[in-house]
Amino acid sequence: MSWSLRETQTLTIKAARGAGLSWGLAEEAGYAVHWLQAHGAPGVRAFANYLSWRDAAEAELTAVTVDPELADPNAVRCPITLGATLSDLGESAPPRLGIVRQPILLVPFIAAATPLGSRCLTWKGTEVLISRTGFSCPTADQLSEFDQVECQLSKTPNVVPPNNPTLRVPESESLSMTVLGEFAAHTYAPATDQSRAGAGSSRSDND
Amino acid sequence: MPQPLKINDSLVNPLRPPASVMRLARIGSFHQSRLSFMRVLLRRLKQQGWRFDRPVWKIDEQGVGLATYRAIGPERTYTLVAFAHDLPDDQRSDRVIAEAWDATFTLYDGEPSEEDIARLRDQVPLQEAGRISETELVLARANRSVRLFGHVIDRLASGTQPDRDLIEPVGYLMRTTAVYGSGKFGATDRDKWANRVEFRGSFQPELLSVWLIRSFTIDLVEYLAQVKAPETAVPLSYDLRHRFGVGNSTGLGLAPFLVTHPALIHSWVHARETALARVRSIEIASEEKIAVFHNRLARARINAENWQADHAYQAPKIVSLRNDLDSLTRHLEANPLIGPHPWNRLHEWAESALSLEGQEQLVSLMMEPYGEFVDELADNMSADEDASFHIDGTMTVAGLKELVETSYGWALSVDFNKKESIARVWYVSEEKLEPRLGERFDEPVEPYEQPLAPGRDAAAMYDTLQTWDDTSTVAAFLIEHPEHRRATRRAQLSAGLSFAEIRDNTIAEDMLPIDLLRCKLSFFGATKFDPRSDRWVRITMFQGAPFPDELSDTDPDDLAYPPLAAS
Repeated sequence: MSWSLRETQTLTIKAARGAGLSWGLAEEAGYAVHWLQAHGAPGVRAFANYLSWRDAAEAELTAVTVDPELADPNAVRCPITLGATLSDLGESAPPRLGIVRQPILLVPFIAAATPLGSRCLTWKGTEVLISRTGFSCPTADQLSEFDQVECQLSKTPNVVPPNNPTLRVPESESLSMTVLGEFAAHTYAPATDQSRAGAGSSRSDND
Repeated sequence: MPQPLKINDSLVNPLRPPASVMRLARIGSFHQSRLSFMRVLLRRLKQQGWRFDRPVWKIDEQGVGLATYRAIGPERTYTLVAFAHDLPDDQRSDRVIAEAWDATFTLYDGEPSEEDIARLRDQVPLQEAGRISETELVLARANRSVRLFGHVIDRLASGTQPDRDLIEPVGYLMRTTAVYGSGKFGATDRDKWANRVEFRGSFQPELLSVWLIRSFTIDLVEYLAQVKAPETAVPLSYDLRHRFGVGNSTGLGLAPFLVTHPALIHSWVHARETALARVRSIEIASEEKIAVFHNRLARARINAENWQADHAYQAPKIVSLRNDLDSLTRHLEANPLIGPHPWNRLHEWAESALSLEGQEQLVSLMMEPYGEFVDELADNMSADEDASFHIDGTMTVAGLKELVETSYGWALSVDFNKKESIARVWYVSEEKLEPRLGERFDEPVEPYEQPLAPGRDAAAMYDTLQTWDDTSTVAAFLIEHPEHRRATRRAQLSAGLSFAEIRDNTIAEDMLPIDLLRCKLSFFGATKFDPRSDRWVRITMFQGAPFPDELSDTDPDDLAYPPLAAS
C-alpha cells in the first residue's frame, strides 16, 4: 500500500489544522510535506514527529520569526511558521534562524524563496543545498532525525542537481500517516441526527 | 486537424465583469456548452482516432461478474474495469453513507493483468473503504434506476422496446453516486497524467470512465434480457439507446470544490467568458452559422420542455427558461441576425429581456456555430493551483487593502455581525468524512468550521489591516496575524485571476448550495439538473451522445441537444 501525494497533502493540511495551526499555515504545511515527498525526502515523518512533539510538550512556540537579533535565543521555532515567513520574505531572509524543530521542513520554503541560484541551510555539520527546483544533502535519508537544532542560512555558488521526482508516499511511512490521521480527526465534527439528515433530503434515493 | 486560430482577444469585446458573472444566482444558471468537459472529451477522442472494445464479459445470469472496456489511443490505452454486483433493494442508496452498490468501477492506466484484476476485485467494490494504486486513475460506483432498469429488461426480453415516455423523464439506466479521481483513495496523482494530450483540460479521466460506464449499462440490460428470454429478446433500438445517458446523484461533497480551487475556476469561467466575447465580436453572421444557431435553439427548447424538476427553486427557473426561449424565438423572427454585430446585439437584448436562465442558455447557444473560435479555449481549462500558492510578503499593507477592495468589494458592504450573514457553517462530519452544511446558531459545529467563506474572511482581514501602517509589509502583518494568511493568499491570487472568487456570501442564511453544484456540473456538460433538496441534485450525463463504436462517424457536438424529431 502507498499513498498519492495529493491525498497526503490533504491529510497534512487537516492534521496541521487539527493540531491548532491557522488554515493558512496548515496549507503551508501541506505544501512543505508534498514538496519534500515529491523530492524523495521524508516530509510526512518529519511533520508527524513535529506534531507529536508539539502536542506532548504543549509547546509555546514563538510566533516572532523575523528576529535577526534572536531576542530569545532559547526559543524553539515552529518550522512551518518560520518557513512561511522565510517564503514571504524571499531573498531578504536573515542568516540566523535560531533553534528550529524538524529543520528539514524549512527546505521547501527556502526553495520557494530562492528564484535563482541556490542557498545553503546548515545545522550541526549538516549542509543542505537548496534551489528552486530541488535540494541535495549527503545524508538526505537522515534529515528527519534532527529534532531540534540551531540553523543558519547562506547564499552559495554551488549548483544543486535536480532530484528524481517521487510520486508516492511509501508503505514505510504508514506509522507517520496514522499519526497525521489522528491529528486530522480533530477537524471532524461528531455526527448528530441533524447532520445526517442535513446532507440529503426526505425524498427517495432509490427510484 | 484544423489550424489553431490566431485571435487577438484584446480586439474583441471586453469580458463581462467578474462582479456580474461570479454571483451565485448567475453561475447557478449556467448551461452545458461547447466548452463542457464531456464534449471536449468526445471531440478529442474522435480527432485522435481512439478505438474501443470490450475484451472481457464474464457476467453471470444474475447479472454479477466482471466486464472490461478498453479505450485505445495513439499512444496509450485505458481500461474501465467494471464489477457488477447483486445488491439487495433495501441497500440501494445514493447517499455517501451507502456501503454497497449495483456496480463499481475503476479506470486502469493501461491493460490490467490477471493479478491486477484480482487485486481490484478485492478493493474496488469497497469504494472509500478500499485502496487503489498508482495504476488506477478513477474510482466510481453506480446504482440502477428502479424506475427503468427492470422495465427495459422486461420489454426487451419480450421482444418489444421500452416506453419512451418512461425513459425521457429519467434518462439513464444507472446513476453514478461518486466518481473519484486525482489521487483519492490511493489513485494516481493528477501530476502523473495532467500533461497527456488526451487529458488536457479538466476531469477527462473521470468523464471517460462515465462514458464507458454508459456502454456497460446498455450492455448489461441487453444481456439480462437475452438471459431472461433467449428466444424473443431484442436489442435496444438505435433511437431509444441514445436517450440513455448516465445519471449522477451528487450532494454537498461537490460544493466546496469551487471555493477550494480558485485558479481552476478562474480558468473555466475565463474560457467561457472569452468565448462569449469572441462571438459577440463577430461582425457578420453567415447564413450557415445562423442556421446552426436556429437548429440548436429549437433543440434547446425541446430540452427545456423535457427537463423535469419539481424543486421549489428549480421548477420556476425551468418555466422561466421555457418562456425565455419562446421570447428569444419571437425576438429573432422580428429581428433576424442580419446586419453588423448580430450576436452582440442579441446578447445586449437578452441582458434586459431574459431571466438569468435564459441569458446563460443563450451564451451557450451562441457558441454552438463557432467551434473555430471557441473549441481551442478548452485546452486552457485547467490550472496548477500550486503556481499561485506563495505569498508575496514584500507587498505593502496598502497594496493588500487595494486587492481586497477590488476582489471583495461586495463583502465589505456585508454586515458579518448579523446572524443571517453567518448563519451557515461548512464542516466535515466524523462519520463519513464528507462536507456538510450546518446551522451556526443551532448546532455545535462552529469549532469545526472549514474555510469556505472567503468573503467573510477577506472582510475580517480588511478590518485588521485598517489598524496597520500602509507602508508595513505583508510579511510583517502575517507574523502578527497568521489567522489571515489564507485570506492574504486568496486576495493576491484573485488579483491576477479575476474570475477566481465567487462574489457572494457562501455562509449566508439564504445561500443555496445547489447553485455551486449547478455551476460545476454545467462545466462537466450535465443536463436535466434536478435538485432533490437545496443541497442534493440529480443530473444526466452523455444523454444523446454517440456510443464508442459510433464516434468516428458522428459529430458529437451535433448530439449535445435532443434531436428535433423527438418533439
